[in-house]
Amino acid sequence: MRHYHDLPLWVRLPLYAFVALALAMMVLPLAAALPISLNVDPWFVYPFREFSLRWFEALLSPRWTGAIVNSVLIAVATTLLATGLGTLAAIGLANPRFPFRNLVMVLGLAPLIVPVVVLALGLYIFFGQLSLNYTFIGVVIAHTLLASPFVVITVTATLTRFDFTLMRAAASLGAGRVFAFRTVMLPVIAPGVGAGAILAFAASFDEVVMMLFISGPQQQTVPKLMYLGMRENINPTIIAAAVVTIAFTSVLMAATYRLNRGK
Amino acid sequence: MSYGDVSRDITPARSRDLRVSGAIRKKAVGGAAKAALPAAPLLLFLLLFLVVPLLTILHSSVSDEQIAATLPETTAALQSWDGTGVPAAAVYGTLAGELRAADEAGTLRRLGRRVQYELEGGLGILLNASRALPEEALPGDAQAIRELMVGADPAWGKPGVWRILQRYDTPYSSFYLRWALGLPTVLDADGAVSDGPGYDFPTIYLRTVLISLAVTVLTVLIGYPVAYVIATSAGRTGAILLFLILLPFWTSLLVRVMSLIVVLQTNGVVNQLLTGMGLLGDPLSFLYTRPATIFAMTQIQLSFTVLPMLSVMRTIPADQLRGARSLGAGPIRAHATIFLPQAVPGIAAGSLLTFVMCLGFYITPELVGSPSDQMVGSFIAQFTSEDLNWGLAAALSVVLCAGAAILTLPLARRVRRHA
Repeated sequence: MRHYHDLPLWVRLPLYAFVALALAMMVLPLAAALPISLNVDPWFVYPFREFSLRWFEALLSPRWTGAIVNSVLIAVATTLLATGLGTLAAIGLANPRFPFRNLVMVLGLAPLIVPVVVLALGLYIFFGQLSLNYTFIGVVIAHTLLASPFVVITVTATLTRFDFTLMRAAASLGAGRVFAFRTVMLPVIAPGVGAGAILAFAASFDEVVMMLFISGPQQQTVPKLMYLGMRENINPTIIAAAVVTIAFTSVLMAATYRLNRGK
Repeated sequence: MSYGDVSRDITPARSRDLRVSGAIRKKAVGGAAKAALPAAPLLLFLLLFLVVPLLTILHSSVSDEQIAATLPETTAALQSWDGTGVPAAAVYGTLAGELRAADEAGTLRRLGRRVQYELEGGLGILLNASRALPEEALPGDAQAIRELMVGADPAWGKPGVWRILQRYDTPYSSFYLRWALGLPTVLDADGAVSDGPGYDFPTIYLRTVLISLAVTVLTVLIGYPVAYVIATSAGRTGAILLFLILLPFWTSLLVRVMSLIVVLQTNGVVNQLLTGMGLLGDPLSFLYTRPATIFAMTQIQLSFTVLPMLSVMRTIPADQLRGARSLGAGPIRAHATIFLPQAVPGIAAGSLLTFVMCLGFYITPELVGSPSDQMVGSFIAQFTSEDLNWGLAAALSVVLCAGAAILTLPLARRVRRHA
């Protein structure tokens, strides 16, 4: 396995240094920026005169708490919708007799490939005719469009390991389709469904392009406020919001890790 | 026994076969429908909220009804005009009536803005004509109306504005697509093609492709060694490295761009370090530059390039390298002739993914780039929400998607065949 040890030392050392540098490039900006949320002064340099939680306290303002609540509501609704639609679709697509399977799979993954700004424009014009712009439902639909491919991918991956004869066995023992799904298939594919749901939640929770197009001025989410703040003068409150977002997604990430290990 | 007898003999059996195969076919069709059933909700959802909106964009890019809807009789009357000089006085009369109606309906400005897209000073020309018309009833004499209009704006005595109105007797046109492709679309009052102030879309496409290419190349150059080391590291080291490279999937794009802005800004940490070490006299503004844009996009896309490479590299058997070494190849030669060629499908898949994703970038260049680093996506957003020019926004989207497909589909097919 460790065939890199084959490489001579004068190749290996620069190689490791390079990889370390590349990975540092991924992490260092975050590592340098996030602690600044604890600086008592609104400056972006070290060292701090004093540590303070004042920027986190600023997140308790109605503007930010409203955005946090709204973000969570949208993400929860998106997760439910995307997980339901995506899981069912993955089960259908697992069947080799599915008509035009490849084409449908491409359609299912298309929201990941088509530029979000194009999807957002299309939905914006289309929603204009349906009066769905500036509505909660409209935003949830837009986020579900972006989130459903993640569920399709993760559930499809777990289904490749699922033995479909189990379903026939359940049917032969008298189980109805729904009962068999609930008691036989769902427990087996649960890690995939869970991982897909978490990815869907994260996709919605971070989303800003759709929000900029189809959400109204009254509809704020955390990413939207962060984006608007970054366009103007960046303020340590935004860094505090980023810290909260990262803490939140870290919890989700740990949950996915456990789900995947549990299978 | 004649052939006839044979055929009669086997007929019942064959017909039974046919019946059976018919039943199988019916069952297969039923099975296909049953198989498709669970996917139906998502399919319906995608049909409604993916396919229909994309078709809406396609429709918006060729839909151009403002002129025909506001000036139906004028455009109809202009169809018999030969395009030289100016049309007959009667057409002025028709236009005056319709301009008056548009003014009362409140659609005059919108019409003027649409004409302005295509005619230098078009909005002013229409407003001038409308203002020159008397408050009360229009004169019955069309000749008098013509004199009023030409007196208000000399453009009405020239063919340019008439030629444009003449084109739009249908609600569809290729105008927005031609505009988005950078073809000459603006006329002056004389009807000659004018450069006009506008957007240089070909340059914007070129810039979009070049930035995307630069990011793709950088992610491959940086990502290949990273993927190689991760693929060949066992146990805990490999897991930690993989965790680090997967980090972007978990940190939102906005948070990462935010951290770059905080660190790179003029009064940020990087400038503090560089000036503190005496490497810089005065703080530099790293932000709002092309390198900052490319750096940010590279940082965001690196994992997308690395993951497909990694999954291919993991399937390359170590035994082959050992075999090459035992046959006398040096370690570098073994890598170049055994490992690298087998990793190519992964490199191709990863770079293709990153390239396609980069073409649609919008938020990142907007936040860390200068005005001259903005890519197509930013213009789509700008024309949608600021200029309210949906036709052009839709046409730009069509060009972006079609261009991306033309650039990548042949490669994608090849990648699929290798994979």
